[in-house]
Amino acid sequence: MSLINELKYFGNSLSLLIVEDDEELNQELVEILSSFFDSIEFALDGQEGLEKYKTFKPDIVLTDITMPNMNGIKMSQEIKNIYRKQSILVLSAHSDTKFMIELIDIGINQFILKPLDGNNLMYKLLKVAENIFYKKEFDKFYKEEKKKRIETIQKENQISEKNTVENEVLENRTSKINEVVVEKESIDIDSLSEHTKKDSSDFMEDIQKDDLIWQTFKDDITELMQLSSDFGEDIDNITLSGLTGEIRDRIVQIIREYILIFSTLDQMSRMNDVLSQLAEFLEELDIDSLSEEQHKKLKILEFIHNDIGRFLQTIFVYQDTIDIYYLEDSLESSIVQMKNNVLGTQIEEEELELF
Amino acid sequence: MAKQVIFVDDSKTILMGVEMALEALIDSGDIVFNQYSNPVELLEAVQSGSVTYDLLFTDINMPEMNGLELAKTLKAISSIKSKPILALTTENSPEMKQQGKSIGIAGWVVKPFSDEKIVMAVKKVLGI
Repeated sequence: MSLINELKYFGNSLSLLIVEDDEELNQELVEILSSFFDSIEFALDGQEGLEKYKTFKPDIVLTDITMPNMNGIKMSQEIKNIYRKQSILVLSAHSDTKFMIELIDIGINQFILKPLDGNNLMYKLLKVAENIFYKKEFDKFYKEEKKKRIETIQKENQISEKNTVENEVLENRTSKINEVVVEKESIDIDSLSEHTKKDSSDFMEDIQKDDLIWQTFKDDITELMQLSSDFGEDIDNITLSGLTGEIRDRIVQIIREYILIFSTLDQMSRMNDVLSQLAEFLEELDIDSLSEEQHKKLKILEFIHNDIGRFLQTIFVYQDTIDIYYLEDSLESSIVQMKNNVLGTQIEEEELELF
Repeated sequence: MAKQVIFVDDSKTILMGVEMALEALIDSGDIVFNQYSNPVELLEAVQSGSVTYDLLFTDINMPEMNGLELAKTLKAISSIKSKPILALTTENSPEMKQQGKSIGIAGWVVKPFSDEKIVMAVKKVLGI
């Protein structure tokens, strides 16, 4: 699906509030984006933006930073006080970098650099829209599942004990059974996993517990996002000109910087081992002697970059996963597969098991 | 008629890898290949009736939902509960496999995998 169609798909049930004091840009944004979203409202400064927010209750807020009456930072802070999980995207100029940390502290999801690039704007909106869309679907699904499960248990209970149990008691018991059932099932699956699980909110709580780590890590999150975007540029360059020694060196450097940032976090130690494997593989590649076929196989780097980028966003920006360790094993196996494909060696693999 | 095969994996690398491995079966019209990087999206599509499959491969550790939970939920949907589901995962413990088996998973493919193994799994399960 193209970017335009994807944004239409995910945006058409969502609402957007645009806060921008440049009237011309504001109007342009409204015109362009109204074909993607269910409803759009706009405001010309932070004060008006906040008022509109309270009545309109949009899914996404897109805001400028420097504005009269109330600036974008103050407005975002006020909005986050009303609804902590509000998705806010900030339009920022290079000169605004001094506000970045303050904004990250408030919990801003995404930054879009000015002057605006249409594709980048749509891409950033898509990422946020996609996330809200799935969250809504996920909530809906679990509510329905839970309701169904309660109904089934109620039905079973009614059949076996219909003459003996008062309704009130039954209800009470049903909810208890339900809790036990849900808990037991999740324990079964979790305890079998070869790695322990930790969800995003626990992880972020851990980091924030230690004030020193958290103060330095806030800057690191901005750095991680910047590195991810640089990595993306290098991947684009590979598509254009193939993998050159220069691009390889830059990518290795980026991966090493990821590793350096993660090295302050115990939870990322295995991820760091896996990233080291990737850096070492790339470093050892004798690029000048690679055949055309081998260059083609290296295209998989683009997807590895995607997986790492999504991981960073999921863990540090959206902070929304049931398991922060979800990628490491899978990334390691992808790297092994890439190595084998490029170098033409045999994969040591397990037998296929059909039950 | 071409068989519908769906892969669910959060990793784009894996999804691209399997698509390339299955190229011959796709080109010959034996199978139609579909991929989902979010299990919740697949569930929604199956529940609404807009998507069905003859064979499903699922990862286990995914950011939004565990693959065994996904399989269990799909196995409760009457229209597709008889369709085979295989795990494609780095998880390799006998206990995990046993758990998978008990909720109706039909087979287990451990990552990393060769192209041949994926092709063999698809052919064997679909009988083509």
